[in-house]
Amino acid sequence: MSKIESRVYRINPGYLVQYEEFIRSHAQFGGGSEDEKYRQARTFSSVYELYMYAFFIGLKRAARKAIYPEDRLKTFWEMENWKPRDLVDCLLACAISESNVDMNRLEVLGEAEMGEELSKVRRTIEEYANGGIVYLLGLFEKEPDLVEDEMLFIRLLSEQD
Amino acid sequence: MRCDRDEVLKRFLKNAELRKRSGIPEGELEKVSFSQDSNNLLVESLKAMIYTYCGGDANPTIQRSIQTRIKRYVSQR
Amino acid sequence: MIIKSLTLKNFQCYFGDHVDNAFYFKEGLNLIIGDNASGKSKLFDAFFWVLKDQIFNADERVFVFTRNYKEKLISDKAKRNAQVGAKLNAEVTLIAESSQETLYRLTRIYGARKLDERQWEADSQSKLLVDEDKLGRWVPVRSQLHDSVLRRVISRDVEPYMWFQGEQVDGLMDLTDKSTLTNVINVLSNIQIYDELLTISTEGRGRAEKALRKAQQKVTKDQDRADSIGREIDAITLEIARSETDIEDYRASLETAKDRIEELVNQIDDAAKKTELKKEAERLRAEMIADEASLNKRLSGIYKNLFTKYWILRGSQVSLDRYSDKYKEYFTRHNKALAEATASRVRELPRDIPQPIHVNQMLVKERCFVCGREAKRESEAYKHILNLLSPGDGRSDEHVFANDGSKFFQKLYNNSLELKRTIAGVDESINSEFSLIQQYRGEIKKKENRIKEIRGEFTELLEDDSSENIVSAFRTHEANREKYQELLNRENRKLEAARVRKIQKVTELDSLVTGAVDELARAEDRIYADLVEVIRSTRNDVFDSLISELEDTANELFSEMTRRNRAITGRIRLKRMATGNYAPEIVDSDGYVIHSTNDSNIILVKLALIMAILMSRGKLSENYSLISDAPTSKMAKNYTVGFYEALSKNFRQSIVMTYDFLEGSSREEFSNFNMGRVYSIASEYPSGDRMDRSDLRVSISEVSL
Repeated sequence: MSKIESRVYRINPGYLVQYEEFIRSHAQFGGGSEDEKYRQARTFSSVYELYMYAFFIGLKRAARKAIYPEDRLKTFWEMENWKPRDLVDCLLACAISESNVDMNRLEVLGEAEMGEELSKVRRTIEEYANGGIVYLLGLFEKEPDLVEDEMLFIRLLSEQD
Repeated sequence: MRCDRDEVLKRFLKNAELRKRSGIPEGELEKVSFSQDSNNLLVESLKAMIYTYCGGDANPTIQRSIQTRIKRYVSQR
Repeated sequence: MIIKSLTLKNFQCYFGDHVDNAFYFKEGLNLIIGDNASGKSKLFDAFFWVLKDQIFNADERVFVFTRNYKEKLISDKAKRNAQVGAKLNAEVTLIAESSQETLYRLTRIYGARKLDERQWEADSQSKLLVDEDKLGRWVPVRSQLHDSVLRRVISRDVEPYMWFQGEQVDGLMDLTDKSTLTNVINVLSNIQIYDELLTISTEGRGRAEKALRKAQQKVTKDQDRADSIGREIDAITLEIARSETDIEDYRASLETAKDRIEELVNQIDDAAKKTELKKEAERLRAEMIADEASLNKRLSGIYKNLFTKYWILRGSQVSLDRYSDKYKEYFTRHNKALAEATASRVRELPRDIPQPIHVNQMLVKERCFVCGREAKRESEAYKHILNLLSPGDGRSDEHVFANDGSKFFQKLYNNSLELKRTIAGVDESINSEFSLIQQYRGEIKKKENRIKEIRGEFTELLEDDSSENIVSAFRTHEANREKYQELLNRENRKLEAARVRKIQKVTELDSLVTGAVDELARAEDRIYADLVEVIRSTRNDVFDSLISELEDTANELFSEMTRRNRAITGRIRLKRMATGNYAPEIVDSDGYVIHSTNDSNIILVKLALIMAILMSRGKLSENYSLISDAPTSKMAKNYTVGFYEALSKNFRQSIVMTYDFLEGSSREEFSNFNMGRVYSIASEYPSGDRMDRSDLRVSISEVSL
């Protein structure tokens, strides 16, 4: 595996801490808890699934949320652990294309600078994912009853642009 | 005596929910008695409850006997 | 205790002293045979009066206390004969023997003074004397101990079932009577023990939950937030409790409505049509349940499709295409850099091979532009073309680039190419899944509608042969059924949502915990939760096994009682109502309820159940006497013998007042029974005037078998 590849997969994107509640209500955390009472049906069986969904919705809706240095983000898992890999690869391809990372320049940079350049990719992922979350939150705020709609997330995808 | 504690215990030992929650298989569960410690916290708490209840004790005493049993178990580990 | 004798003095129609009105009983079936108005019911009254100080007022059909019945208790004949100013007593003496062979004599006395020919001054209350036989002499028993003796003659809990009059049988097994049958079952099964244990453990659980939360809050990093979450959890817990109560109520109302509908439906005469419709409705309902299960399965799996079927990629094609373009640009520059940097190692593509940009096109179009042949994905041709893009022959270009990302970027590129077709097909994939779901929903809706139609057909059938009242009652109950089902569904959804919220809050609270929570608090919380569930489940086990025992015994008795008459079929079943009470019904082999307009079947069933109840804890039918006045009054003739036989076989002692066996010839049946003593009684008017109540007395004679 090349250095670029391993650095890219080690990207650990985060969500803004104020979205914690949203994440918790739609995704299941961890798998290690023995207590049965924590295993409740959620839409997404893991946080990264929800995150990927949010990214693609953000992408589709062109909902990109600007992230500032003073923002606090919460991370959860490096992307190398996300499944399925081919979906993750698509996500990365989209992120690379939407960011202004210079693929050729990457190849000649030193370690530190490479990290900096790659952070553009991470930032792009975060901006679209958090943008997607904002979009979803906005929907629920306008229409709180939407939480009852079992097909919502799928319908959102198939809606015409 | 409010009731026959051995009879009541026997009834509980046949229960599927107890089997599930204690993790003790059917054959082993049958052998549980008041004379021997089963080393299973749930079963021992249940025994404490039945013992004090059938002995005619009041609610607070019964609760205390269960709590004592749990405390002993936890501190041993 | 076994009843040895009953003697009466001036008690109602029984004029005369104790020696004139004496009945002696043995173990086995004891009969007192008499026509109507012969004094049978008054005899039953006498048993009742001695033990309970109450008289059954036939006119108003209620039990009244002696002090309210007053001098009516005393024989009219005796009252007529008495002098003005004299005091008269009515007395009943009952002698019973305990299992320890101790004899007890219970005498109840009630008196009145004659003021004039028409007025009497009755005592304010009756007096009870209880004596014990000690070495052949009657010794009084202290009044504080009276109650314990009385209770051993008849058990309070099951008294209605052991001492009853024929016309009460219906009521004893009445659907709408919440308490009686359930109370009896409670007594017989010691279910109380489990109920109490449940209460105790539920209390303990509440406390353990609170303690755990407190312990969690101690090691929490945000005390305020933890406190506020704790309060929210309390509020939700209250909400959950309220929902659960409401759900119980709705369920009960729903069951009641369903039962009323069932009752009304059973009044429809067209049995065949009725059964056909019912069976169709049952079948549809079962199918609907299966359909709903399939639907839910599909719905629960649907989110997985976002990832397994790549639905999530819908709409991302534009971005992926942009990546392709970016990649191609990168690739061109990358190669150029390679070429420039390592002049000696410039790769030359063979002359007749297209430029990389064209190679990409060939891959997309899946066709070789050079030879014009198809190159479908996964085919050798395709792979060959793909290979032309690969950087190469294994020679390392490390020192050209500090970090060569070409393999990686190409992987991303190939990946997106490969998924292009899939992405294009996502719309169809989603639509086909949606339409499948719509299909299920449609099927379910269709069945729902057909069931509604069937209900309409029932209404029609009902209208054809029933009164206005019944039809409107039917409509009312139908409306109720729908209403309560709606409410129930809504409340269940609310409950589920509340439960989910509680778990979320608990999870949140957990996440605030930084240190190790007191292990003891955790253990207690867990153990109490387990205890509650285990006790609840065991309680249900106990109940279920008793019910099944009762059903089995009742069915055995039922077969015994009906073996002489094949016309009755069916099996007795005790159905659990939503209210937690039980009601008896007869079902056919398919489990469908048989409702016949023939009362005697029902009476027989109820009697079989009463006897089953009394036999379920051997003690009752062993240690207490069954006393009944005209139990077979509503029964068809051919079943009565079966009933008596079952009685004589299964009860140590029974005393029955009846008008059966008035003819001597019918008494031949007795030869096979375990018989006690048999008496024949008749009312007598010595002066010949049958209209003169004040001349009434009862003649008693023993019948030898």
